[in-house]
Amino acid sequence: MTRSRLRPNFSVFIIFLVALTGFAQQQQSGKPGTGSSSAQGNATVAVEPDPTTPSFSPAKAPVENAVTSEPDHRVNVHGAISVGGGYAHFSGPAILPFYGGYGSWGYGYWSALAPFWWSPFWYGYAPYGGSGPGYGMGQVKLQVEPKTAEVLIDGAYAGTVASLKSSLWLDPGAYDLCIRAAGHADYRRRIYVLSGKNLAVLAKLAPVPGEVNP
Amino acid sequence: MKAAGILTLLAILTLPLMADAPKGTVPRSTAGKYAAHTEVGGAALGATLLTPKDVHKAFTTDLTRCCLVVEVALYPANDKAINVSPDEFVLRLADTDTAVKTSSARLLAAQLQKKNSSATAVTPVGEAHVGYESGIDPLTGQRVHGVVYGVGAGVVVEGAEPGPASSERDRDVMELELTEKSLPEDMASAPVAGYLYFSIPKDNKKAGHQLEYTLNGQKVLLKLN
Repeated sequence: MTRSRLRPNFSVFIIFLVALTGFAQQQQSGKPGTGSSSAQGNATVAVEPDPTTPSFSPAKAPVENAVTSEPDHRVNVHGAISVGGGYAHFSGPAILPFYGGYGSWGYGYWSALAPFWWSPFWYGYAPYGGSGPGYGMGQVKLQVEPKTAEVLIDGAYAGTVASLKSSLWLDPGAYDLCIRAAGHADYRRRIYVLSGKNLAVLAKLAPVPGEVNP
Repeated sequence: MKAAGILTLLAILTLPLMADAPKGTVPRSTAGKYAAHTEVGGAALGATLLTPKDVHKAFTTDLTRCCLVVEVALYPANDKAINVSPDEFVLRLADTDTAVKTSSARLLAAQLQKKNSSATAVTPVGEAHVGYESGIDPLTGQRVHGVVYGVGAGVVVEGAEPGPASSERDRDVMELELTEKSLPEDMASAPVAGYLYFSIPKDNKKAGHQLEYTLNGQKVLLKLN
């Protein structure tokens, strides 16, 4: 006999994702004064001395002349805690008076009372790294009038504001943005795009007297 | 022809060097347009301490997390060029003995990238599921099966995952932005402006600030707030 029962479920998921990363990552040997090329090294602040940091600055001074040619043996612990609640309805025989839940991304158990039951569904999930339309990129949101204006990135035509749906996804970098429309003054700006960041560009192109607006 | 060729070659060789050079910002019409200003021997100095809101408007890089930003402009006298040296600016905290020199773009970019790499993110999550399950009931030993469906909501706090602006490439971009917008170091015969960055301990960010600089051989002190 099959019966239905509505059971409240307030699950508290405590998840620890431990990943060991960064082991044996080779840092590039940073040479002070080599300009932007030195930024290719590891993210550690202590890699390079900064000649402009004063000795009397109250700010935390970086460790200077750190060894940079050795492997990086640091261990990075990644963790996540998920707290959630919800309810579920099971159409089968309702035997278990209570179920909670715990688990990790990818699997979940229903409770200590039913340790043999597992559900691929009953766990929280998140847009967790590596997904999304612009992963590793930055978004440029264009709030531009008129919408028929053309967008040029580093001199290359990218589309009209309308065709781009007022949004651009770009790799991290510095770009020369130009927005132009017939009968309007050009809008030029140097933009800096960072991964995972949004950059809003507001531009209302001013009509140029004497020129015909389309 | 030969001279033209040499000039072209020189231009090609120096172009990459100029690409990362500070360009600064457009100076306002007069030093008086800045929140603090002074004049010494015909040359003028203007400065404004940027609020966090101003910083967000002026920079893609989130500088509010690491330092104070001061927009500075120098106006040489009509017939006399002045030496602009960003390294000689000092930010003094009022009522303390603390003085801070400018921080380099490279150092700040590295600091910010490191902070971003270890940032925590709070993400709301929601789910809805429908499924079919079967299994052995541990209490009765009977096989049971049925359809399960449900909804859930919660929050996920993630730590130590790479956050926005945390890659090596991002560091390069942040360094480039800070460099290009910083006050150029040069002999200036025309008005010049740009930003200066000062790493200040958190506790002292709300203290009064004074900008010190030696203009035309005379030490000047501008009260910024």
